[in-house]
Amino acid sequence: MTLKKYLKGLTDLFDEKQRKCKKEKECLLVALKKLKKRKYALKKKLDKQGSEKSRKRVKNELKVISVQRRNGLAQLKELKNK
Amino acid sequence: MLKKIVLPVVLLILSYGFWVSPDFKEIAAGVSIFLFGMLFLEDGFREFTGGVLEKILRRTTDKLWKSVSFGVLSTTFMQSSSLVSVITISFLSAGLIGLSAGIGIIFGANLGTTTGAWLIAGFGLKVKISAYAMPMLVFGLILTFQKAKSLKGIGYILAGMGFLFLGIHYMKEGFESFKDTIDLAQFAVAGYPGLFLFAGIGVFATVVMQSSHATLVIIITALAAGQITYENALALAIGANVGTTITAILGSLGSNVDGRRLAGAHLIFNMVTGVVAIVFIYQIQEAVVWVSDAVGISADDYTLKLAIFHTIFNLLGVIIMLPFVNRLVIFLNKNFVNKEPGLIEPLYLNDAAIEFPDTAIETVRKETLHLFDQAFEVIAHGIGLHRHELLSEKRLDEVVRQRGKPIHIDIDDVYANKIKVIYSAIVEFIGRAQHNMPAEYAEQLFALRASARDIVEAVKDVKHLRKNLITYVHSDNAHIRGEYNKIQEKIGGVLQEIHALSTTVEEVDLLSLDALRIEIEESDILTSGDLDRLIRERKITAQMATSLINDVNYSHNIVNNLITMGPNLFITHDPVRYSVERNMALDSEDIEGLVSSKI
Repeated sequence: MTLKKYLKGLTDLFDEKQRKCKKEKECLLVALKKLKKRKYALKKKLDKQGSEKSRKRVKNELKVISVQRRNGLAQLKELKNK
Repeated sequence: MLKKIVLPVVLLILSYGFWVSPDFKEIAAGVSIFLFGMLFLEDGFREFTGGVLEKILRRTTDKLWKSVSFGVLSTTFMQSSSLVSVITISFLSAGLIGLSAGIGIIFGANLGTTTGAWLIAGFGLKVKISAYAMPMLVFGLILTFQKAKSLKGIGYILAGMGFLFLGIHYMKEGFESFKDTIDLAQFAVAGYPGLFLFAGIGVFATVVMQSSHATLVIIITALAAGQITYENALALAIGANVGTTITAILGSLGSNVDGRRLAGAHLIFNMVTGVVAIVFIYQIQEAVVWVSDAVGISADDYTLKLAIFHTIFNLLGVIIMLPFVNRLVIFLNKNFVNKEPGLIEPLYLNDAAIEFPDTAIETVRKETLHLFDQAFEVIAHGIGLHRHELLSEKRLDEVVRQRGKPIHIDIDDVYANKIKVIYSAIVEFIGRAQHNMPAEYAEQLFALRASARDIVEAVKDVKHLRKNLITYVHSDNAHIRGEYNKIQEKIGGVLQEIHALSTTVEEVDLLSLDALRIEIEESDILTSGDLDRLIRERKITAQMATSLINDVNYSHNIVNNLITMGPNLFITHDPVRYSVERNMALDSEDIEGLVSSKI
């Protein structure tokens, strides 16, 4: 089992495509996590907004983040299927 | 003229040498194979550029001792102070490291290069080195044919080392056979005249071969064969140390002022070290004897003693020069200055930065920022606002409504003499840099070129917009004035946002500007119905309306161009992260969908 694991690690090390794919996944997860964090921060901010204009602005940003997350998740699915 | 004569003369001399002495032929072939090996080794390490080396360089040069350590370790590992010098000049030219860090690396590289003498004297001459060379060459060459970059790099390094070993072997054999025909030791010169003469020969040999490492190998193998005396070998080593600066000087010729400053530092360091070594040669020799006794090197092992001498005098140079690094930086900054500082010309683009993907991208990024900086002023003045007002704490709507007389600016003139000069240089540089660059890096360069184009397009559109804008912002009709003030606010706001992004210390990602994009799309007067209302209520004339329609389009193009160019300039250097974030960012379909859903 351990030997198999090491062999896989060694193969990954020399397989540039695999390495790139792994890095892409890592970057994607970091970006998605960051968006999630930003989403929670904006939701908190939304509750504190007094004027309708500023509420609309925050809502706007929340929608943008949703679309960005959707794009990111689609990309992640594609990478997992590779 | 001289250049045309030198090459045939050298070739003739060599041919004559080969004809009269087969041993000389063997030595010369050894040197050639050795230099060929160094080229392979450098190519191998270059395969790994755009990765580990740059990351380490960026992280380990914040303190002087770290820079020196980096220089020592990288040169020890790569066995090429020339490659370390070229990388350092390239990074310095791109502004990725500072001058004092660069000087630290060069000092360290001088110390690191002494390990070469240890390896040759301690290992190369004591074992049958050619036995190691053969398998290295075979494995190395097989690996160089592989597609994977890492395998290819390892292949080049292995083959390079194989050739180095083979070269040393031939030089060793050549000098040993040479001893039977001619004894070069009879030309030995004692005392200070010999010291200066052989130091001069060392400088000359290193300048010709452009490798102090190769000179050292010849010195050590000749010394081992008894073809030169120990004293003369020491002088040759000192000369080789001074001669090696030629690589840095040649490397700096194509670089900017920072590269030339570093080459100056290299020359000063090696000259000071050389003078110290010559003046205190007898004291250093005593130190060599003391160290040899302490570590158990026999009194007649002159090759290892030469390696100790080489290390001691370079270490002495570092110890002497290190406290003066700050003064050296001041001296170099004072004596190497940019010519014609007032003239608008590319600030960062230079040939040295083109060497490595990371430095090429960083240089283009900085130059595009320079272009943006110039364009910022043109656009701000073009829409009747001053840069200092835009960057002040004042609210933008107040700035727009408080403006005085129109700002005079000849956009055609500024475009031809400033914007186009920098833009053309960027396009030309990218054209040269993307050649032989890995695809992911070339993609980043193209994105930066697109950013530069967006900036230029924004400037061109400001020229068209300005014609009506300067008239209508001073109009008595409050409605048309208000609409043009909105245009000013829209462009001014984006300029402010982009400027904030360019100066932020936080990490910027590609996704930050998407919300701004939506906001601008939503405020479009043409789709919101505000324009129709103004016409219907006869608050503006038909002529004003047509001007407004055209100018809203221009303003729309300006802000879109500015927003599109922003991310490429301010985001990560990491090509994978860049590509991932670009795929996550909103495309035109997403934007249309969000705006039409009236969020």
